[in-house]
Amino acid sequence: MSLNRDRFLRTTAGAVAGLAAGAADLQAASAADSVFLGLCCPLTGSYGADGEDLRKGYLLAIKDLNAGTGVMGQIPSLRGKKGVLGKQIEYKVADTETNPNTAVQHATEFITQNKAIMVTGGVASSEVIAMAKVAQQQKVLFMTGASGSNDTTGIDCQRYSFRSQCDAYMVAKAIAPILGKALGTKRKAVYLTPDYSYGHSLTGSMREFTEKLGWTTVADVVAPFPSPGDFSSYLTNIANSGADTFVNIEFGNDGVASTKQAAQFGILPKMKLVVPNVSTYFPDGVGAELMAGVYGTQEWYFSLADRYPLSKRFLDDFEKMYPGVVPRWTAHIAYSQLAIWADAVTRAKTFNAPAVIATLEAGKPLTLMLGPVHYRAGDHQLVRPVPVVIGKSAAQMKNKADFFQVVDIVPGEDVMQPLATTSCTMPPV
Amino acid sequence: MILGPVGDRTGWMVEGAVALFLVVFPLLLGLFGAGTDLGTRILILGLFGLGVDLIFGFTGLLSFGQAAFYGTGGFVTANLLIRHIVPNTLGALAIGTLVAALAGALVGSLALRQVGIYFAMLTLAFGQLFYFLENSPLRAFTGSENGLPGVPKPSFAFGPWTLDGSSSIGMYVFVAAIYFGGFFIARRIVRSPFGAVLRAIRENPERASAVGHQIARYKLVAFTLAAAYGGLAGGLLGIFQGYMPPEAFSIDQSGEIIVMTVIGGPGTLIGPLVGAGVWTLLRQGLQNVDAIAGVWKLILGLVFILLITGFRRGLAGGAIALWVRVRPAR
Amino acid sequence: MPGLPVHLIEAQLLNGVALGSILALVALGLTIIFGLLGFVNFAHGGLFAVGAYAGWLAYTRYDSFVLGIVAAIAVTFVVGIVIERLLIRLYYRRPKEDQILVTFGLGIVLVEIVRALFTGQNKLVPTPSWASGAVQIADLVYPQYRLDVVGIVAITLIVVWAIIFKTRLGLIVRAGIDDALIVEMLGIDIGRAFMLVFALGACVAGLAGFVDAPILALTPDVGTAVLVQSLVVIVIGGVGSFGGAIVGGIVAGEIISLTSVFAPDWAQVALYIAMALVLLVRPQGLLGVVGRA
Repeated sequence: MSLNRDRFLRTTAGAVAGLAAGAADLQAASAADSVFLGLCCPLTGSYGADGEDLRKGYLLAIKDLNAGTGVMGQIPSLRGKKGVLGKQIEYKVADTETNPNTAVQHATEFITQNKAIMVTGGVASSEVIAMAKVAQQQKVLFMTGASGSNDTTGIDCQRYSFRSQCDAYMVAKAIAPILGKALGTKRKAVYLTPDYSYGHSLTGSMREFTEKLGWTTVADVVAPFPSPGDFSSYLTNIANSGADTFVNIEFGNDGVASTKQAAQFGILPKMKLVVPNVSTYFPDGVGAELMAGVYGTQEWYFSLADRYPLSKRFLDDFEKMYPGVVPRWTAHIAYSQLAIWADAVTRAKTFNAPAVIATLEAGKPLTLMLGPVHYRAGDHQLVRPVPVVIGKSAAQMKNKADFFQVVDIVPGEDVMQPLATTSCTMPPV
Repeated sequence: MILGPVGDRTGWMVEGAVALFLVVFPLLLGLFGAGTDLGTRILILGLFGLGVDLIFGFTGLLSFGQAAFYGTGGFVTANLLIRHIVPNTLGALAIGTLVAALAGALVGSLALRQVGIYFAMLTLAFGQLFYFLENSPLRAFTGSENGLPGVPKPSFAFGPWTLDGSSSIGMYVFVAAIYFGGFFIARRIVRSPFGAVLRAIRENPERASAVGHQIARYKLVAFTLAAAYGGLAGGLLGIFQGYMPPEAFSIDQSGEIIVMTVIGGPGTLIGPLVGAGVWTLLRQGLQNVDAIAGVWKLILGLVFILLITGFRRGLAGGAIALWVRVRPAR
Repeated sequence: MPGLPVHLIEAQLLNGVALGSILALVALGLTIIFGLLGFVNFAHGGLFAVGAYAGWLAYTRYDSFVLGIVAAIAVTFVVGIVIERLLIRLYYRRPKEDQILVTFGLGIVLVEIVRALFTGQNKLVPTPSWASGAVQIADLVYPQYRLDVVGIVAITLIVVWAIIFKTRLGLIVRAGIDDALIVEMLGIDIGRAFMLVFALGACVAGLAGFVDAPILALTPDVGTAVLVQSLVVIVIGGVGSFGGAIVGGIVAGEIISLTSVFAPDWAQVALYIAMALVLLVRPQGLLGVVGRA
């Protein structure tokens, strides 16, 4: 039929034209003196504040990589060099809106349109897990942003994805003995858990280690995620649970809202508050009064500059680039992930993903802001220390961001989850 | 009775124009610096909108819950493909579409008991119901807030040629072919006696009923068809992105597709495609201009209001009306 | 949960009432416009957001909660008047679907304007110092502020009721609903009356926005969730009935609170099932009047 033939020819012509245009694009990319990094940060939505901090960390890292300055300039393999393998890094920041779908769209665009050599970012574990799967499908490296769920290096582990934040298991195992010593072993705990992978992960791990100490878990109150903003029904349950310890697993703005509302409900200070993983701007939103004496962990904290020379360097450079802003731990994750990646690429002498993966999996330690760290091949979890902190009272604060005192820095090797229990089966490269 | 006349001269011209557009679209996008993927995304929304236009543009039923079917079709198809229950892409899509249609029949049989505002609110309630069911109780199948990653890309062999879904252009051709099929069928539906009754229901339900039509049945069939289109589009979304997002069920999604249909022009079938194009391209374009990046939705909202108030036919509808007026009389 | 203590149920019942009164206040603006003008206002959520932010601005700048309330009411009243004169009055005779669509678009525009002015980051509205802390009722502990909100809702309802049933304006509007032609023939400006009623509904929505702000995390998107919730409340309670807004609010509040005890996953689902059931079985709602919509 003449009409069908016509249409077929037109479609083929269109397809050929499209392919030609695409091929021209590819040639342009590899001939350049630069490589492209896709930065996916939530700038709006529940974790917008953390995402902004993440973004700042990335920008500082890229500046240092391109100029050979700062902490990057101190790394043995990168010393004296500008750029990575002689190429300057170009980048673009996309707002994931704390939404896995938007994150996936941006990550895919970075890979297919911008020919990104590596994609990084995300703050909610849901975003991170979704982007890691895209990276695996597209065979492009993905260095995670912030992600605390065990699943990211557990059941959802990916060969092309590497996670640096201490996961829920590590946090719980690190903090539990300290809680036992400080608060006693006969406590009755009630949990407020956001209903998604990260929430259940952290509650599960916390319960495992506190119950081993002798604590009783009176109740695990699960609140929907995304949260309704009003936690009254759940806090009513908690207020009437008969517990003496309130473990708040909520993160970001939800963490702030639920803690403030808990104070309104008289739950605090009647019960002792424990926040196992303190999100970046949690103490600012909640206030020193509620934070005083609260035990928690922070992936990194600025006072560690007193202990680690590279932390001091990072802190100084960050404050120079962003006057008046103190970096939080999401900025630290951003910087360290790019540092680890750049070091691995340089030692592998190529950007080619499988080779870089092999280098990372070989696990040669790299000294960064928290001392020597390295990736574990079995699940791509970074072996690194866990800083345990306690909230300072308003009187003890030296400046308006000085919310914590570091109680202990627990070595990573002591708290890593045994590989056999992670449910991680690594796909092939 | 549902499918109308084939082989009428004006009919072929419209289908031909649409086919030509589908071929040229990636090139046009390239000229404006947009990728083929954007075109695929617009087509998927346009397909979703075909169904919405059937019930809203042609039958006058305003539903705020269509995302329920978009999501249902999407997640059924994604699950079938990811778990290798039905490894055949077209088969999985067909089943996803069918399940969405069944959901549509179920929701429709309840929601259509009311009219006007109550109908709109019922569809909104059902849409939200699906969203919250997807989010919590059914999370094993939907991955809850994580969505479902890992949807495999299709690949079709036609003798010596292979249509590879993992390339942008390959995926575009796949989706464009399905869109064209969907459009073709929708055209046949609206130009059939069935379509005429739908229009009669929109104009004056009492009269349509008085003349003897079982309008409840017509509405239900139209609603089910709309759900099927939504489900098919949802399935394609998951395949296209390699990831099925939970937002597909959200009320924002239901609202967006209505806005796109109205901007493009209800009752034109291509309206939703035009609206989706305007929405998507404006969003993309404005986001790259730093000064006004955040206000793309504000601008679209204002355009939407202006169109409803003064230019009820929408962009495509207005263009068609203009063309009808200026073409020489037959 | 291990062994449900009896007073947990009591606590949740109380919570349901407090939560419900907030929901009722939020839905009241919608019910005023719907009940008196027969007009579906899907911009309700947008007005809620505008009021919340206007109040936040005044509250944080002048450190006065009362000033925040005044700002919320004043700004949304003016916005209501502007919207009604420019847009809404063109739609009174248009089909309901068009009313829904244009106000839906308006809602988007309002939310986006708020977002453009204040960015998408959360704003925290602190509880006023005279209302912070918890109150002991028998062996239950409950936040002071939420109990104060119940009081605010009661006052608002009395004021609105007085305006509608005890003033000339209210009389005109109620007459105009029943027979606009006669009212106009009597030489009364029905258009002005409609405008004031719309603005009244808008400013009640704005008030609700600011009153609710200390409890929620304030973002521009709070409007969409509120619109949907308000629709649920007025459907259950009865479209166009003030008693309906209260009853609907409390029923919705209790549904959320009580389901959260037994099956937190299903709290929202239960709400929408209730809404669908009411629409199917008794569409005018528990206290509504047939023929309103």
